[in-house]
Amino acid sequence: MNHRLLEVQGLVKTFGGITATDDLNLDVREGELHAVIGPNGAGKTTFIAQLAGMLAPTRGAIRFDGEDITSLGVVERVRRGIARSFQITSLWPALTLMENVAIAAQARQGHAFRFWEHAAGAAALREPALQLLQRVGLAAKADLPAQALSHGERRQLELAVTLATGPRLLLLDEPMAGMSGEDSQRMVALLGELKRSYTILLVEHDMDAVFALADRISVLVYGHCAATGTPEEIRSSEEVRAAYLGEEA
Amino acid sequence: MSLMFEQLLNGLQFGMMLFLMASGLTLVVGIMNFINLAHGTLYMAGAFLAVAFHALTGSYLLALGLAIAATALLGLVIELLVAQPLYQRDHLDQVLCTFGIILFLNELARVIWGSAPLRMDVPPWLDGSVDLAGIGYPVYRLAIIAVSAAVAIGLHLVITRTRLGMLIRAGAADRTMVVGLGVNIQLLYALVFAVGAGLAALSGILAAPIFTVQTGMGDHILILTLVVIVIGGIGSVHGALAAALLVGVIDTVGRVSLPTGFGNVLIYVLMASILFWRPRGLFPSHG
Amino acid sequence: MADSTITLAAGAKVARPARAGRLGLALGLSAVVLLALVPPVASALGDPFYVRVVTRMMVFAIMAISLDLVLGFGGMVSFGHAMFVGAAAYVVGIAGHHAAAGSALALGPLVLTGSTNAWIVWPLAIAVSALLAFVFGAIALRTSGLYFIMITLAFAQMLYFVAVSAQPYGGADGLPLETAPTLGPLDTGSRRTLYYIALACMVAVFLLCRRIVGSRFGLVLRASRFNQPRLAAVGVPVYRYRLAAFVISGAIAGLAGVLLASSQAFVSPADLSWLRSGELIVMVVLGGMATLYGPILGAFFYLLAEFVLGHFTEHWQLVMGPLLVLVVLYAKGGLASLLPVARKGGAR
Repeated sequence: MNHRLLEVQGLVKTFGGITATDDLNLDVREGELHAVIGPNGAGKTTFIAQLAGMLAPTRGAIRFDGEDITSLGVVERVRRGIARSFQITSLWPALTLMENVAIAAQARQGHAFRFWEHAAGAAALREPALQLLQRVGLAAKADLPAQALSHGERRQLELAVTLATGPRLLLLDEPMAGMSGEDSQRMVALLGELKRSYTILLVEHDMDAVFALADRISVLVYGHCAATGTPEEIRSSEEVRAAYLGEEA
Repeated sequence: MSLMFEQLLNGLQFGMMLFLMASGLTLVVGIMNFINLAHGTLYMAGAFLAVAFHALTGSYLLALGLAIAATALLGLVIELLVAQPLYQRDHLDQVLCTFGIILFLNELARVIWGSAPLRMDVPPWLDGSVDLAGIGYPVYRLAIIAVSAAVAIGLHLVITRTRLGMLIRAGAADRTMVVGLGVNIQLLYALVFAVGAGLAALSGILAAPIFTVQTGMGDHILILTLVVIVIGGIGSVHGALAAALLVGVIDTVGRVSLPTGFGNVLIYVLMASILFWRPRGLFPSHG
Repeated sequence: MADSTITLAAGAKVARPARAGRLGLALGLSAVVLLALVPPVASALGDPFYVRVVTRMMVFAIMAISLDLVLGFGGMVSFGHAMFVGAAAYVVGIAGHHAAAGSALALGPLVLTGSTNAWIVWPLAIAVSALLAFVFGAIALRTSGLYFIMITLAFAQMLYFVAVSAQPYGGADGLPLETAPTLGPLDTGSRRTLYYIALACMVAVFLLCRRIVGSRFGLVLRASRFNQPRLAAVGVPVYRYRLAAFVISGAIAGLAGVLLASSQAFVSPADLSWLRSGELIVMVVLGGMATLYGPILGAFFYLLAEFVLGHFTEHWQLVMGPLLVLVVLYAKGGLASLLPVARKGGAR
């Protein structure tokens, strides 16, 4: 539990005159659920984008399992076991749930350059895909097009697709965005269950979920990590409360 | 040497004509995000209508004015009937519909005016040539350069000095922002479309005495215009000017100096190279 | 696979190839049988001209299917597709030209004599198309949107101008095919023989593409049409898939090209023009994108309209233009959406 799976050192990202990430230092230990919170505009999504490889940092280093991955692209990082989900649901709406998950699954299996075999019928794809859909509670709707799902269900599918890549580290960008009540609770339960098999970096606004799930919390303010600690430490920290929790009411 | 000078002037003249086409199209594509392949047929419409009005009135200037107005009107009709439903649709749909308009208008021109190319003569008061650095250069071609330059200056003033121009520049950079300013978007779009049509018509009318007026004459110009706006950067009128002059000169000089085949291909090679280094064109207006 | 009976939002359709429901299979087989009967019926009626017309329709159907692969399924709006058809046709024409003239073509150290042996010329022509698709696709696919359309258009124009300027091969007037290539014992110059070759090719291409689209490769291709960043985010290197699709599409277009050369006994720059590419896009969309049988319908419909309407008036495009606009605005599923086939196919 102490092995540092992800290490971020001195990360800086500037866009023209704006500094979105300002000397950010953070680490994620293997097996933990590390939540990242912060006020709007703190640069959380920019941070995730840099971790996932979609945005190149201006300065700094990112280490995954000891290896410097700062210059690696998205696909390379997925191959090494880093997968992200999106704050704004990103799926293939016209394809079925099964197909959505299968794409990620076949990418993981490494042989998608096959022209002949029928993909939808292939047991090697269908079984793992169904298992994942089962895990997020969507197995019954496997053959429906993704656009037929409700918002909450789409967030679950978003998660399933991310899981299908077989990652070691999950970067979850506000998985509960736009959810309420029952949907939220289901997602929290799901995340609690996933905690046991994956290392998770969770960006979230929902404070109940964060304090229920997180092993450690980092507070991001103006692109800088202002504090890191256990939920109790963060909750009782005066500075954090002033900077962030106070604003949240 | 004098031959090269003459070709340079021809290139400049052709470039200015391309600018008239490109300025309108780059705004339509940049502001409305609408790929209007029918822009070339507006060029053709301007030329044909000018010939018709000229036969009717006998006056070149009157024909010019009427043809531009009529084509702008045609542009408004197209904007209303075809473009408006398509602003929210994807590019493929826009390409298909405007391609359908090309088929229709090209055929319509053939129905009305036949397949044989028409001639339009240079007006007598612009006929003749001027002595420029030892060569005799047609007055008419100089007039084209002058008129186009005047339009370019006019556009520059409108775009940089007027509120409308500000809206246009804002719209080209960020469409949604303009909507947020509470501007009547319908009107703005219609205006941009109509002005683009008018400019295309002007280009076609100016071209008429030099090239022949026939159905399909807008097709090749359309492609060159698209090359220009892509090189110049979509949404940028200044970019369109720079790119149009570049394309005009290179195309003209290239076709004359290089063996056949290579000259025509040159601008496409140019475009591919520029896109390779600057995928958004030379002066992209989008952030 | 269970049939989806859930009503979707208006107009929403699933981007999957139509599984052969019983009805679909029956319709398909009947169509093939009907087509197979055309030559004997035509000669019984004493008008073999129809054989030529339907051959042309089938050749264009092959072009349209190949375009649907990248356009309908992959979302790549290629305005230069005709260049792959035309290039292959020109290879056949040039080979035939040199054979007839007894001359040779020197490409640097390589000296090629002419040939009318289809076993040699056809694979060569298709290979040329595939190579062009690889080179042009490799560059074009680094862009997207309007820039992609422009680059494909530009490449096609380049080839067009090369063809127009190639005086030894007819230039703007085109190149007649003196002797039709022979495919072993088959003479492609015989109307009837070419007809059945074209029919066989069309059916084979259709089945092949269905296979491809339903495969793992096809799944990635279809996904790439809607959301490429997500593909990268799950670890799929999208570019190479799209390029592969582009090359396959180009090769099939090349097949259509060699058939076109024989069927027209002629090849000209018009076969390479961007207007021809535009017509192909029209056929795919009118027929119904991402269905594979839609393009067949579209090609047949377009050429039939040209043929039939052309009898009444040479201005049939006056109708085709507005029709295209109306279909795109209000009936995006095209002709294929009119068929009562048990479909989960067809995409917006």
